[in-house]
Amino acid sequence: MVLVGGRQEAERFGEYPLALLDVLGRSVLMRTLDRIRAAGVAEITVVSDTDPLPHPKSVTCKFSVASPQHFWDDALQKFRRLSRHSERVLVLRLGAWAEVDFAAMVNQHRDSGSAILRAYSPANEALDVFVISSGNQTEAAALLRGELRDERIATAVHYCDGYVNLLATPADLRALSLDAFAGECEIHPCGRELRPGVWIGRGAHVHRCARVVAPAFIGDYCSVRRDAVITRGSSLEHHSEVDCATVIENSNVMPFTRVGAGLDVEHSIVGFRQVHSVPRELTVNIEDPHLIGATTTDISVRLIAGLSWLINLLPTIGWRLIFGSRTETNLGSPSEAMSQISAMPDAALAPVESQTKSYREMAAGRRYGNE
Amino acid sequence: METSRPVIVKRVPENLNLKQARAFLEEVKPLLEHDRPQIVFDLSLVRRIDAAGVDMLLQCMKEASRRDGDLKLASLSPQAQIVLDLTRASRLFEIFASSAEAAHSFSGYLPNMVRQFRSTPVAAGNGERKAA
Repeated sequence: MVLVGGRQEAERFGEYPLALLDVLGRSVLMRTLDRIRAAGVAEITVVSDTDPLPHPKSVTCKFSVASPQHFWDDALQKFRRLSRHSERVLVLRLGAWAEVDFAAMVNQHRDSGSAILRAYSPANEALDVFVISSGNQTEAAALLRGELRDERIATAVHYCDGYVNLLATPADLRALSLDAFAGECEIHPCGRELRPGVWIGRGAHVHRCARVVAPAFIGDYCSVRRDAVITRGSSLEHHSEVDCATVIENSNVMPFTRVGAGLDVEHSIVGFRQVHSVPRELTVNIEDPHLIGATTTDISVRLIAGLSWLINLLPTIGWRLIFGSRTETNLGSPSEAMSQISAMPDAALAPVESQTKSYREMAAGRRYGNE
Repeated sequence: METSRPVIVKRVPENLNLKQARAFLEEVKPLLEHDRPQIVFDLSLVRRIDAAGVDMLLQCMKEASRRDGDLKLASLSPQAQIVLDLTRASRLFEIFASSAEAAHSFSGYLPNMVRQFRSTPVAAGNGERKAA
């Protein structure tokens, strides 16, 4: 049983629990579910206090949304239902990204015979990861009603020797992205590695004049417009847009976020009309959609917008096909030609060889930024 | 030789959206029309600022520069600092930790003799302060 949220503490960004937000293409919840499945857990139930964002790679499991007031009661009901069919129940609250060996934990619980086994990080921090015997309903009820914080309940200890990020603040989400880029945890970017350190998702579009500097991640259906720069471990999550000449440096752009033109986003987490500055530890609401806006989460609206864009573009394409190649410069008389040449910038008057060289350099620069 | 051009410290309102920015610009226009205006905007109260607010600040700086004056920013609230950084406007302004520091900085280019006689900023009503 995986619980998401349930506590009104910092662990959120823009009303969403950090575990529901994407890190390099998949949310912490989705990645945790993958790990649980890999450990051989048969039935998984998720209880969340917030509706998740639509995702192009959604996973199938029993997902229920409980109101914050009834979250823990709902969790207890789910636990009782699960414990009818199984000997022990693995209970996680996200929370933290903890690379706990779930199979080893279940084995330890079986071998030790303890009622409740709790995971601890290498730094001896208690994690919200438990294995509970189905027979101990009273203690389980007390634990869940106490929001998994009741320290009077005796638990056996399982030390996790994997990577742990408590995801207590949005800055931790940024740190998790950087650790994933550095290969310090099991999180891998979801997408095609276009070149070393640059991953790109399905349907993403990067303008040929935009620059993407490794390490960087561009998620599914993202759009990076002309002269934008994505650099220093930045990640754009799915359906986000970066407008012309904006620099995204050492930052995370959340799903369905539109970053306006000519901005400088540094050391921040941006999304849901908010900017969280990591060095200042401060979240600011941005109400101006020209700065930070939102793209629609509704797929039908996106389809209509795409179609209307295509229809608008057709006359332009037709015009270029018919007249584009016929455009010639008429220099007129020799004196007029000389006056036009003298008005040209120096670069245009450079020898043909140097021009060819510079175009070759431009092509090399474009090769990685063009998808 | 110049001795007593005033430094005007103006407190910027809490919300700086399009409507408020226009109203504020109307308010400070007379100050910007002085010869070589020396103005400090105190942004300590600012809680919300959008692109129109940033545009207004740039417009004020442009007006001040046109008359050979200067506009400096002081006591930026974290919200204002983040938005100015985001829009790259923070690079265009001289920013000081306090209004007093910003007001003092105007005397930086004056000869030493003049600087000795300049006094510290004096408080005035209506959110404006003048340093002689």
